[in-house]
Amino acid sequence: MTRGFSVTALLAGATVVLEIVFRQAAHPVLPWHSVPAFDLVYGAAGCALIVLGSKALGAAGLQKPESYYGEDE
Amino acid sequence: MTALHPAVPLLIAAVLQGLVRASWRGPVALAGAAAALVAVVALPAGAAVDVTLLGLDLRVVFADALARVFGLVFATMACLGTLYALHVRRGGEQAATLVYAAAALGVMFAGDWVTLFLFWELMALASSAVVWYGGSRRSRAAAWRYLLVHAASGSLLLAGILVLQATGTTRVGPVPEGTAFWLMVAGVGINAAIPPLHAWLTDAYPEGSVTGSVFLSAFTTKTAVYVLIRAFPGAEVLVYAGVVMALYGVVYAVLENDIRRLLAYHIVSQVGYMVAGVGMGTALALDGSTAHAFSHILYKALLFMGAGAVIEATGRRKLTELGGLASRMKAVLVLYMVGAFSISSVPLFNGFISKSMVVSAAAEGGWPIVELLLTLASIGTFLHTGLKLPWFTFFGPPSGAAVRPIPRNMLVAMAAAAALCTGLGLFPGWLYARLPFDAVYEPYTIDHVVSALQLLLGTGIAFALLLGKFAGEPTVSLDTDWFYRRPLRSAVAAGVALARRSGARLERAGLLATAAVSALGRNPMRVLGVFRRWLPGLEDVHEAAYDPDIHRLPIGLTVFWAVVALGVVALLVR
Repeated sequence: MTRGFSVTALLAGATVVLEIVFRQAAHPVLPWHSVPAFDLVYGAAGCALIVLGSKALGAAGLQKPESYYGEDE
Repeated sequence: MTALHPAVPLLIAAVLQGLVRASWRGPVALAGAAAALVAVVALPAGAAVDVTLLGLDLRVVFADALARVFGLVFATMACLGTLYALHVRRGGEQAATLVYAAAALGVMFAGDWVTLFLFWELMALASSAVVWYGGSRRSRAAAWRYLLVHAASGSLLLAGILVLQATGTTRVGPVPEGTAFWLMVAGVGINAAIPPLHAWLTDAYPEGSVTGSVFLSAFTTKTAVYVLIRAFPGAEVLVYAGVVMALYGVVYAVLENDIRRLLAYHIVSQVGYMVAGVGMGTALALDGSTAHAFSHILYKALLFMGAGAVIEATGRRKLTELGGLASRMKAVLVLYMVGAFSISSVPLFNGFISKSMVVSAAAEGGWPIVELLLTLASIGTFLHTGLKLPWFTFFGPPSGAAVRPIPRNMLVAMAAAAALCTGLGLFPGWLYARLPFDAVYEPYTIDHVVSALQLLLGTGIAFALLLGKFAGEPTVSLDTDWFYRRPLRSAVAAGVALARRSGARLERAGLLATAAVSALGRNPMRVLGVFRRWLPGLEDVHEAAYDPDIHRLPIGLTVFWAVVALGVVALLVR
């Protein structure tokens, strides 16, 4: 797990380098397209937002025991 | 110009299911699907076949570029699905899946609204049967709910078609805003699984058999996307509906424990991209929706095949009951991951070359927030289908589940689907050349690739940090089907109980009234006695004065007068 995490972090760093080196070849359409590592941060923050937000909704009443609808309705 | 409707070989194969021996049912189904694929390829561009039936001018075949590209992937999917189900000997299930595929192709190539509607309804019936053949009581209950929802969808679509035809429009094409527009959007929106009209999908798809659910994952929602592209391009409401879909499925997938229901929520999410693309209405967006439908059918079928293989091998379907299968199901894992990389838009796989078209269309079409939200949904897709599901199924703590060997044809079908997903990712030009709206798009630019990789890597890092939050929980999630599974069900049950009680009371009251009347009828003097107080001359009437042997008329006399009365009536009405 730790090794996988290190490899992922290394690859992430490599994409940022690529992004900076090939900046001239990029075709930004929206302002954030030209912010280095934007998608990296958005990916991590989005992931946290999705899981924490969804879990909060589940705890607020969306999640029920498996027998809620009955097994053989 | 000759043209065989691609649905015909599938329908013939469906009929043959009842005639051939059980061991031939799978091969016959596969042959029917292969013949349908040949028929689609052989359809000349622009082919049209018109027939007149019951005074209606129907265009039963209309093969423009849009119909042909959808027809191509539908027929390919029928081949993959029948190959995956080659070992299935239940003729009913084989026939249901073949009719389902035939009806979907019928919708694809329908040139007029009546033909489209007839195939639409056939599709609803056949797909309900596919859910039914899941074989459990849960399957049958879900199939009934599924059928009722799709009956509502068909009714709304028909109402819209009738309103539209009143204006003289019979051919399938863009629908102007008005009553017909909203009726048809609602009807098609149910089949497209637009929330809150989507719950039939996540309720029913996980309840089919492992082979039946593969077909379910492909046809109904993509048929709806096809009709949306035909009838409602540029309808702005669909942009917002699509974004809601994309995010809705992702949120629910976090909470889901059933592996096929998790994948079903991601159908809602992925179809959201297509619906949003239709709403944007630009050439790039419409081609993006078409391309994504094409890709989605292939990778989603592969994912359902992978989940089905796990269920077939272990008999288990919940994340909390799975884990540690990687070493015992290596081939399934590798092939599943091809589907997972495809749906997650990993470069070199087909999701990347199609989903990015819709997201780019949002950016270029002046929908910046939509672009951000669709990208957010894409993060969720990788999170669940690429990380959560495989981690807790194949790599998590071993569950101790026994692993039975699965039929070889299931693996062959998965390999074929994986090859198509990868092939399209490597050679997107093949698909782009067949898209109907002539958009120009290059997926493999440095910014597209780097952006996609960063998004995936960022998601992976956060997943690793928050791993404990993703474990499945033995719960169900309340969705909009709650309304008809709980309060509506209770209301119906209360209504039935009320009707029963009322019926019982009415029956009792009727019996009492009959008993009272019959008591009076046994002695007419008793009736007269009731009025004795008010009517003069009845003072001497007493019950004892009546002797039935003396006063009652012979029954023969009654019959005589009845016959006379009938004779008179018969003479009068001549």
